[in-house]
Amino acid sequence: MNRLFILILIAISLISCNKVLEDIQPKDQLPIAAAFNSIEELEAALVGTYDALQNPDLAGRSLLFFSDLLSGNIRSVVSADLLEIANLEMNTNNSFIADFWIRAYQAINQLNLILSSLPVVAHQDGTADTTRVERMEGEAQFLRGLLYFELVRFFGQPYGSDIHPDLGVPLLLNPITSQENLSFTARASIAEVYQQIIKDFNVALPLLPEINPMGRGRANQFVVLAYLARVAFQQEQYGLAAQYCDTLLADGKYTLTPEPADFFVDEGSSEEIWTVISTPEDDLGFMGLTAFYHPNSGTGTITQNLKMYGYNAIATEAQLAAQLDALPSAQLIDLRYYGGPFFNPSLISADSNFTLKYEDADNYADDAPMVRLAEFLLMRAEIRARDGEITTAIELLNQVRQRALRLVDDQGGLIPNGEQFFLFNPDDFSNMEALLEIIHRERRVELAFEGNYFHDLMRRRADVQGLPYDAEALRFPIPQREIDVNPNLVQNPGY
Amino acid sequence: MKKHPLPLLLAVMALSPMFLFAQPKTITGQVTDTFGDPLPGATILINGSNRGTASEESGHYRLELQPQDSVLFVNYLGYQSREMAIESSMQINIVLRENIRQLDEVVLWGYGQDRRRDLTGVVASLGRKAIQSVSVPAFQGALQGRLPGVDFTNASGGLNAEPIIRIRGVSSVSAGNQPLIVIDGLALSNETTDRGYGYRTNPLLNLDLNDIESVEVLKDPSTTALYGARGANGVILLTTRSGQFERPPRINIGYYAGFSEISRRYDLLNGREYAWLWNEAVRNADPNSSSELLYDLDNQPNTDWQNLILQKGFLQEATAGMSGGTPTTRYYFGGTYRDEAGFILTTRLRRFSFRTNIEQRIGKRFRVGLLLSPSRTVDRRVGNQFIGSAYGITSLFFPNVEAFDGNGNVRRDHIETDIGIRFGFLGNPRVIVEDQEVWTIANQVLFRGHLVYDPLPNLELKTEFSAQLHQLENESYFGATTFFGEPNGRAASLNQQVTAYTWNNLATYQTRWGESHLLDVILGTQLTHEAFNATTFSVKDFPSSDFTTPVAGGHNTGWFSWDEEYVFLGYLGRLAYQYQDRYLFALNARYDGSSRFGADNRYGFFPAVAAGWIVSDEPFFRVGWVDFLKLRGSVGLTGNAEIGNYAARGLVGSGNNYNGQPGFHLQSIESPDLSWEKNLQWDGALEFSLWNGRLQGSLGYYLRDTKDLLLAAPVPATNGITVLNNNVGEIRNQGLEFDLSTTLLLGPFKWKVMINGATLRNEVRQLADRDGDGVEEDIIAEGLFLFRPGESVSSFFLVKYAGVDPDNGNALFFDLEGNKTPNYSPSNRQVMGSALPRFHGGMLHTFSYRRFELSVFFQFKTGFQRYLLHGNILESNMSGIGNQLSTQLNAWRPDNRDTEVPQARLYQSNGDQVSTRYLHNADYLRLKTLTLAYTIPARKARLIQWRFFASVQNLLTITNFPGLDPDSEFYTAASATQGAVLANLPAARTFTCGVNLGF
Repeated sequence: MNRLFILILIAISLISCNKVLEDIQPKDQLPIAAAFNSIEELEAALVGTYDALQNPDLAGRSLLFFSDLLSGNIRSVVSADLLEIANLEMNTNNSFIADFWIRAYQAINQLNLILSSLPVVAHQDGTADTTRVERMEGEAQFLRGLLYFELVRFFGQPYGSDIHPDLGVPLLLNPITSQENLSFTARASIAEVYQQIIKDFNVALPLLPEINPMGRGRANQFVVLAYLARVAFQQEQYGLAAQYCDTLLADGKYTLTPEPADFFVDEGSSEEIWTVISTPEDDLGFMGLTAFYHPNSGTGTITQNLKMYGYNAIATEAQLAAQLDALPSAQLIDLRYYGGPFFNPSLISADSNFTLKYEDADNYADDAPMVRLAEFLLMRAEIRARDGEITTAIELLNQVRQRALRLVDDQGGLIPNGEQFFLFNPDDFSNMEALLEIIHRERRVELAFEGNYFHDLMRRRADVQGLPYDAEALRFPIPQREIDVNPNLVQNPGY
Repeated sequence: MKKHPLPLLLAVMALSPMFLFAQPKTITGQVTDTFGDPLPGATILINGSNRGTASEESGHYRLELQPQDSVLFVNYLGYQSREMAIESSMQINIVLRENIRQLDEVVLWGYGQDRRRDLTGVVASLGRKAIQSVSVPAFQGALQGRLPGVDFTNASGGLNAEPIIRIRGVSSVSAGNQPLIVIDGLALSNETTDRGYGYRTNPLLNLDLNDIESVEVLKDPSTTALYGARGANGVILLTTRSGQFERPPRINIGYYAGFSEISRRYDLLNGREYAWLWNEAVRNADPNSSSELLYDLDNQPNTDWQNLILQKGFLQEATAGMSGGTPTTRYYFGGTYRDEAGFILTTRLRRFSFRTNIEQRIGKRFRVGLLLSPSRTVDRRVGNQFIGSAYGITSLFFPNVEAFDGNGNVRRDHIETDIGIRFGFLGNPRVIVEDQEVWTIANQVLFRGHLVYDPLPNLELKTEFSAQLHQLENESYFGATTFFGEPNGRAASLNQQVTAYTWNNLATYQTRWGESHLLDVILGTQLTHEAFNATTFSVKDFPSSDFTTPVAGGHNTGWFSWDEEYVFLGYLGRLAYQYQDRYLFALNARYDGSSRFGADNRYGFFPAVAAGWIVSDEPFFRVGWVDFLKLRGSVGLTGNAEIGNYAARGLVGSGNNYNGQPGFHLQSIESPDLSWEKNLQWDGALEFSLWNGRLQGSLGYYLRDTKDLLLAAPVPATNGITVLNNNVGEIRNQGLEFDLSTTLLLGPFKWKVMINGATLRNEVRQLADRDGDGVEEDIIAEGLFLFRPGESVSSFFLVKYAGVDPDNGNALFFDLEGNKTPNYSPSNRQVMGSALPRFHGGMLHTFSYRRFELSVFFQFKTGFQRYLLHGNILESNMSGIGNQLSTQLNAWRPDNRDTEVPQARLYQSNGDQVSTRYLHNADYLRLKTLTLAYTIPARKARLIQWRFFASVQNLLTITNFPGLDPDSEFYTAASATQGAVLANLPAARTFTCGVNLGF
């Protein structure tokens, strides 16, 4: 019998070692504690946040097309969720809006973790290259500011509105890595969020080099300047915005491409300040900008409003009359519109329903244009106009127009210098308002489908699709799932 | 076995006139039932010895005798045993009566077996005969509605659809509710379904129904305890066929073939109707619409897309098996080939499976056994559900366009209606089935080896090692003009492997002392390890449609790999005691560890106790018409760990690359306190047999409280994540379960009825107060379902639809005060029903007359709802451009004010929001199988028994559910949220006939 019990004991003890449970460690994932440990790892974490930004929920689609949908530049009838944004009848369960919110805060948490780990890791690793650490910190600060800027512009009232100034977005600045520091953060005020954005950008500015050694598609000093200019412009702090613009425009760092389409076709052109890069391997597919806008698969159709008050109004009646007088058979071509058979590529499809700014339908790999020169030429032009510097304002405006407009004869042949008929002179304008209206129209057309127009309307406190700029229906609803799980979160009025 | 006193035996012999001429050396005969039909495989033993034989397929037997042999003992499962005196004749034919009492059936409960009368736990079972009586294509079909308290739902009517199984309700939110499936002691991995694309495939597909000897469902902790953690949701125990010692070889061959068709189709608008509704919608949306937006009603093509992708399916199956045994070896070999073309064009599934099961005695004390079962399934499919599937797109594609060009070729261009309306995707339903190839190929090997050592007559030591190797390959190619393939074709490849093993070591000791004490003790250890590996990649941009292999793609668009594992380690013990065969008692305990939990919370202790009392065996019990009466009860604790392998950890994943630079991103945050979810379950039941077994059955009640719920609870996304695993909350399931069977014998006519059913009441008792404000938060899932204390798990949480305003055609909704309002607001959501059936069950009638047998099997579920996720597409009164169900013709118009369908307004939401408009009662009664069989028994030795049968599946469904099939499900089997349908294929109606022969 004794032998028997020994046998039984052996059988049991064979597997009685607790070690078999301890030995199980994930192989395709890393514990957080092990992943934010070295400069190289933090660099990869930073790349991960650019990848998040590239996602269709952010710059890969939504950040850009939300603005064009809301402002009535485009419509999309195939998806109910997109249709309700264009109709300004948003639902708190709108999946595009929820995904934007979720993705933005995912990236913010990782940026917070990078920012809190960087000093520790740099300190431990005595050999770390200081400029590299600074560049990484600058990028993380900048990206966080950028995400808060996008969030607050869509979920809060426009800056300066006195309706619900307390309803900005939750401001999270520390990383959350464990159940123990889970938070149920309430919304910060709009002013607080803007303060944080500006702070983040200002911290980033001196840390970043003029050229990012990590290559195209990464933030550098000028990208931050461009965003600082945007923020100041949005806050109607025109003097400050002008300063940032001037630095950006100085020394010919950036030049306009010969034709408008060049910027979109030849990615990485001289006009590019910053784009979020998308490669064929990223394959945003039918979720991305290209699929949404391109005529092959596109569902984002250009509205009559944009054609009528934008493209078709780009030449004033006086300009058209003068041209008809001089060259009655000639015809104006706007290369940002359909350029006709001889001006290919142009930026609108022949049926005038779809934009061709996102043309790479073979790969679905169009970069998302974030900031480019033309915007800042027009920004500076507007500020000059507001300052009464009409001549210099018109000069900047004409740079943009000259690139886009052509005059052709009845054979389709280019008439040299024909676009001169459509450039402006100071005496074309009786007052500043008239000039501002022209610049605003130019901005709308030049920057159409690049996520600009809605924010422009907000800044100018102009009506959107018949609603006043501070209307409740123009704010995104806080996603219902967030309201459902966070009792401290206040929904926007009207939802 | 009783020993006959020698003097009596001698006296009998002395009186026998034949005594002087000695006994005949050999006897032969035939074992038949009362109808004269042979009973193959009956055991014929010589009383008082271990010599014996078994009857052949024809019922014949042959037995060598020795002079002292006097009595034969004849035994056959399901029949009353008989003792026959051996007389002078050389031939003894034996007629056995069918035993309509089920009490002596042997029931397996994992590591042991008992007669049903001696069971203290809760086990539902089906024997081979019961499984075979309804010949059905798939495993789940044979079980649906047959076992009380076991609720089966088919994900869809596709060839390879996943079954959703719930035993006694839903007890967990995030830890999975699917029971453990154990085949011959090997717990099947639940990772055998495709991880890559969300196509859920059937993990049971590689099992062959023909191999199954019995199915047992273990429902209470005292029986599931031996399966430990993974058995918390119940255990479905499959035992495959094996040979028996000392039996002549028996061979079975079967073949059947048939065809299948879709059981229900969408009733869609035709081209003209669609154009009419469109025109209405355009004018209603904007009276000043340009006439370019209107269709010319008299000039619209009409295409029935459903017709273009449906076909008559064909299926056939051939099976062969052989079993038998020598005194030291027993064996079973079997194989099956199945080939099935579905009712959707191009779909086809083929399965090859083999099984061998051998056991060898070595000396008197050792036995060694080997079971090996390889199988292969090759499945071509088009997606069983979802809007992106062929059938899904069929329902919404324009009817007023031509499907074929002038040359009769299917159109591959971007199809527009004649006013230029088109979808944002390329491809049409017919092109999808033609140009899209999705293959799923699964290869599986199940292995079990065991060694048994009996050092003492009543002590058994057993070590058993079983393994599952499952390899699944998914190859898909999407042509350039399909929804998924544009613009230049896409392809993807997934290769995944599961390697799982379980090693059990068990010591079983049984002893009896005195006349009335019986003790059973089991001690053991169990180690389970499972590793999951997969790689997938996808490519796009093919040079032409002739290249479909992934390497031909111009760009890699994604690659991903998984590499995960887990370990469970358990120590188990069982002590069972019987006093006077009528007081039954069992104690089980388990100590389990799981690698999934935080370091300090890995182990849990789970005891269970059960008792039974056979009242009818008491001397004082004297009720003539009650043959048997037993009371039993049990209470026990089980643990559930069915969450992600690394659920407690904060992790980053990789592959978040940007512009060619490698990156990673946070995926989860840590929940260090995560530990076992615990189920406390109480059971009480009454089992009875009345009037000599004419009526028998059981009635039971259970209460199952789940505590420390493993909850992947939604958290504010501002934390960088959307869900977090923790242990909070309680759920209660309770219900009654019954089964009844009765047999009527009227001469040669026999009518047997078996009914079973179960009720379920489910209630969330407690949830987490995650933000610490003193109020437990609701959990709202998928925008449809609510988890809230006091309500059923995943109650539908919807705005209540209030019909149509007769004055203006606006959709109306109820607010929380019950007022009708045209304003839709999620703040008016309320609990509107539940997806869990309150009562479900089945009813099997078997009519036999001579050699004919007709079985009619109904299955039903009541008291539940299903939400039509595609309602807001197909019944949106034209808020989008897709086709509509014909019900939408009844939309509100000034001359049609009394309707439930709001006014059609193009591109405008008028009632298509998420509301009870798309929630429907799904009660149904289904004539699931109807089988007629005719048997020609083998009359003489070594002749063949023939059985012919014809069978129809899903012939008739009685329901008010407006969707295609109330028995279908959008969410996966693992999900706690159930109850929605999204373009799921309805069940197939199949007609088969075939033949089985045995010799």
